[in-house]
Amino acid sequence: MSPSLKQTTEPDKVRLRIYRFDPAIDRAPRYDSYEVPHTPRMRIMDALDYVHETLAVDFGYRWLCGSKKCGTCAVNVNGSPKLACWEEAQPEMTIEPMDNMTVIRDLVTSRDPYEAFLAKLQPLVIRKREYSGFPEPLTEADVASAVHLRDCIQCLACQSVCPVLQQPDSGFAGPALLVALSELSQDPRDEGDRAKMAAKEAQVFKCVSCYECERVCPVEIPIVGEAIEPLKRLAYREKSTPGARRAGAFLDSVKKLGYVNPSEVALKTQGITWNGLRLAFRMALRGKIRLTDALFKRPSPGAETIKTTYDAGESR
Amino acid sequence: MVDVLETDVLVIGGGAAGTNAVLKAADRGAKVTMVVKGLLGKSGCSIFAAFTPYFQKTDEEIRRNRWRFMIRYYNHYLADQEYCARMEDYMCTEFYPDLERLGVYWRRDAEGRLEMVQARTRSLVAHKQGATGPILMDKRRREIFRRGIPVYEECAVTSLLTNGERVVGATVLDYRRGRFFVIHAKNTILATGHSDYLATRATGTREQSADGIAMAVRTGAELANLEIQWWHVSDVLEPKSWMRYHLYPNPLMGTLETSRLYNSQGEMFYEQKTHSPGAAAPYTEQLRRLALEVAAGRARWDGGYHSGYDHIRAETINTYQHQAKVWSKLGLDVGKDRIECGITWHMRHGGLNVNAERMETSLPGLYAAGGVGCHYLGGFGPASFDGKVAGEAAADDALASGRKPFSQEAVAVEEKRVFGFLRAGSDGPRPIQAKLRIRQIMWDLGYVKNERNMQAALAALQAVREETVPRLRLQSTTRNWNTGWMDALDACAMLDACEATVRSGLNRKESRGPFYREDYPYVDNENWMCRNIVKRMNGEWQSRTQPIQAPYLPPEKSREPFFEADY
Amino acid sequence: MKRTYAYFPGCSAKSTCSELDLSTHAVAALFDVSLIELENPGCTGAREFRAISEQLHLTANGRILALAERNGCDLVAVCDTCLLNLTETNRRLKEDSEARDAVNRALAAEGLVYRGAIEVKHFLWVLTEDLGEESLRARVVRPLRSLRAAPFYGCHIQRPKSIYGEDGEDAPALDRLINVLGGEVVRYAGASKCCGFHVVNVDQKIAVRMSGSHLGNAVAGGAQCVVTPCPLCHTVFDAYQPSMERQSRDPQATPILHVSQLVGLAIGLSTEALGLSRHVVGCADVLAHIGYSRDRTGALPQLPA
Repeated sequence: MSPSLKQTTEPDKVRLRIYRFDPAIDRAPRYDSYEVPHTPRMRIMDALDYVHETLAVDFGYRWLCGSKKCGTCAVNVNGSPKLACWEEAQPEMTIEPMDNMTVIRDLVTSRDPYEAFLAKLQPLVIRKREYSGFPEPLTEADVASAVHLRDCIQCLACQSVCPVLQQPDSGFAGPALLVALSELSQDPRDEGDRAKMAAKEAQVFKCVSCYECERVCPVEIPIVGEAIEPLKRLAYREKSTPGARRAGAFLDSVKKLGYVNPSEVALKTQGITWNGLRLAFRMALRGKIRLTDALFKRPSPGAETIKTTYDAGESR
Repeated sequence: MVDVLETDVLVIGGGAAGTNAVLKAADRGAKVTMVVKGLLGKSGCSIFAAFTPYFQKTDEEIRRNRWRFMIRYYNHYLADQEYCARMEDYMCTEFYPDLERLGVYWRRDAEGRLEMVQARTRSLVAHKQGATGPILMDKRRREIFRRGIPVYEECAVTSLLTNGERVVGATVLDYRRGRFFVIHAKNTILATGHSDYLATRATGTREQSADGIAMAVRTGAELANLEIQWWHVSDVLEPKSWMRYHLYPNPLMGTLETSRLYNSQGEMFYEQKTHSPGAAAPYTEQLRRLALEVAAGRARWDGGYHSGYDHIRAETINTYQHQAKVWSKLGLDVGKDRIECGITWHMRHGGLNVNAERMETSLPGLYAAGGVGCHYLGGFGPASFDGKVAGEAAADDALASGRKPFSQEAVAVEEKRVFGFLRAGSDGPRPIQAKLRIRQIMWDLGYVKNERNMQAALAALQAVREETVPRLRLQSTTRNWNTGWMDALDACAMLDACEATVRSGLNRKESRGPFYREDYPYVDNENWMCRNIVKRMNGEWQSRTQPIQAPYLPPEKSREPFFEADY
Repeated sequence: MKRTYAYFPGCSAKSTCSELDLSTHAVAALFDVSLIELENPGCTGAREFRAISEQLHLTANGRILALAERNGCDLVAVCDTCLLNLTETNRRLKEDSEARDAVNRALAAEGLVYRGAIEVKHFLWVLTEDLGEESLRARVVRPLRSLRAAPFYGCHIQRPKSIYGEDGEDAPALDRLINVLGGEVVRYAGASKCCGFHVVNVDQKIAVRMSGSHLGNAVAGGAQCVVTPCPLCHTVFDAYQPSMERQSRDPQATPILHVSQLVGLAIGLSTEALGLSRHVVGCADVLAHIGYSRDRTGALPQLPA
């Protein structure tokens, strides 16, 4: 009996367009094209290795372990970040450094901003009580909520596609750092003020919930649901941040009216601002809102029932 | 003039040994500086740690099994047994608390008991079997950064500096920017690991070109048992980069079963549980059995045989095994399908000749910790112990002694050597071609060795040294992450390390563990239970042997046919 | 064949985007689709309830699902974020009996029960899948004359992949719809990206820059309008448009249409029925392109009698 290996039809050749840029020498990036023979079950990294071994022997690319452990080989392939050691080589590939990163040379980018931000988050268990000795009393259930977060290999693919991080000076930590922070915040041994860190340092409420990070995560961490939202629920306690105020105002509005009143939520989140007023006038002019909405709207007939049910749900 | 950074203790290498050396030396109050060729906690072989051994003295039978495993199966009677006793104490008392304090979670069950690999010995996993290393290294990395210890990442140490008698630091090339500098140290700890990328198929990571071994050779340090190199049998054949995926043949978490190897006829020819129950790391046994299959035409070294967990419940493998993802990514079913394998050079037992009480090498001022030493095979726990011993010894010594000058001339010579490779042109071979050639030579030498093929390998290495290296040309002379430049330096290191390895092999006139000589097909404990030592002084190779004591667990037979031994 | 759905308009369609509710009803009526609007459904919580308490999130959405179930038919949403909240909750409550029991205990006082008997879908999919391209095409009386429309999907109708699967659909629903109506799909690098709505109150400039860049790309690609299935995206693109720093050469205002409005135009509904006057950015150029005549007073053009 010969073992059952599934044979797939594989192409003969792989065509690559590789981003080349040496900031010390080049004025602008260029793209070099290479054609390499396809090898069985070829990964993106195998194709890059071939280029390095035969065609462009000095070209800069980074990988260390070749087995999805170190998380250093992620590059953009046809516009989307992929872990080069893990994903299959495509017949046509445009390979570029990941977005949102400073290029050192060619495909190699700097990880320094990530490490610097991570250090600010005090990324080890913070203990106030004396460590009790190995093994600490812990059960699988104590740490189960963060089980997927421990898969993170810090490849930074998520950071590279985060639209908030793409904005200058957003102040936002980004998904990979929130995964690290969230794991710590869910650790029953940790006694750091993670709520404050999530709200102030990491600015978790700047997450737009676009799920781009989950789309590209090579280890398939449910980043929004299992890392970011638990952090938001912690940071919700920090009422001084706009994000927490917004969530609170939103819920208050629904409980009071039976539906959400966007004008009121905006006012309670931001206060009275010039931008807010301009927006309100603009919308009022087209009948989208009334200028008095922020102060008064009529509750729906079922508002009280809704509040009762929500309160019952929330208290569980 | 090159920049000079002053430090008490320089640690070269950022794996289990290097990171613990840095932390423990800093605990003693020394100023510590670290240089890592890759990225701290992300390069080298420590991230490959599948699990950590759980040493206990409470259960006498398990303890006896552990000792038998350490001495016989893992180290083939080449370990320093007094070291093993001290290391056992460390594993029982310090290793786990040190890492758990930082937040490592070793897997528990619903009642809070530690989950264990249940074999004759016990092992623990952080997260999953096969994913333990990255988690442990991540915590160490964060702790080192937290303490503000200077770490030079993506910097290659190119040579050790001496003052004629003592190692006093090293020259370093920051290959991100092409900056060459000196770290002037009172003591230097070499912690560059034992798993190098020296053969066409190897599990060593990209940056691992045996720089530590090579620098030791060039500085005239003694090296022992370099020839005891392990090949992994059950590593993925295709895709090529996945040769580093090891389909564990050792006991698995969550089951009493172990993986199986099948020849090209589909016949099972090896299973640890059945064929070598005492050898929890059954690599030498796998190799011998594969050799028989290869000889019979039922497998090749590079394929034609398969490994699988298809006799084990898929759910068990998926729950506990990091490696299960290899199947799913290839579109295979871990509960049904098997994966074709090839052998890969995994690691070596030998390394610098050390006094394992303090991890001192034959050169004053130079310490060796972890797999780059010769006293024990390695592993995350033992390497951490080495790091502690070396870090504390080097720090204490440094705090008590003055700084010795280094030779400016040697720095200038090394600078010239390093920058000499920065020559562009199309009139010579490319550095990567030299690396590939060296790997091919070591692959061709392979597992089955004899006087003739080792001499041939030496000659082939010599040809690369003499004919290829002087003519190496780059495509570009940029100093900015010039991969070709790094390759040239790697190739030189690999040549020194490979030559030392083959010479060491020629000296050993027996077979042992993963080292097999057709012309000496027996284990000879009477004459060769020793450190088989080589060193190069002024271009001349010297050798000697140093017997190994076996105060706790002596071998049962003084001599036995290699294919009858089980270790 | 009459099709009946429970209908959850969501808060936007009942306030800042009332034209969405209006046009959805108008289009549905023409296709013989009956939308039974839920009474006092509350809110799916946008991204806020789930940032306060998971139980609150499940309860609020479970309540809407339970209300819909009483009608014995699938539930239709017209907002991406509502769609995701409801779909995720529906899946979770179907699979996780503990969570379901907890929600049902909270609903008990109202006499509501979540049973897990229905599915949730977007009105866009009712059009493209349930009715199908053929019946849409048959209804088109005023083809869009190759109107260059840039689809903007919004995040929560396509991600996360745990709900919607891997991306990679060649011709997603909105693209197909634009083609069926006689429009031309503008390809640009923003169709699947995020508008930034959920951060707009927290840091307006982030949202405005994000959507501004998408709009710039769409305009650079020749878009005459943007079409979106989500009122939250609509709000950012329309109401905040005057604040956007355009990334493209062309600063002219770009109308933003709801899916139901685009369909309504092609099937001959009046601009009043579609609430087209209720946008911050006027739609006159789009109407002119597809042949609605302008009247002398400058009022919005009407379909000729």
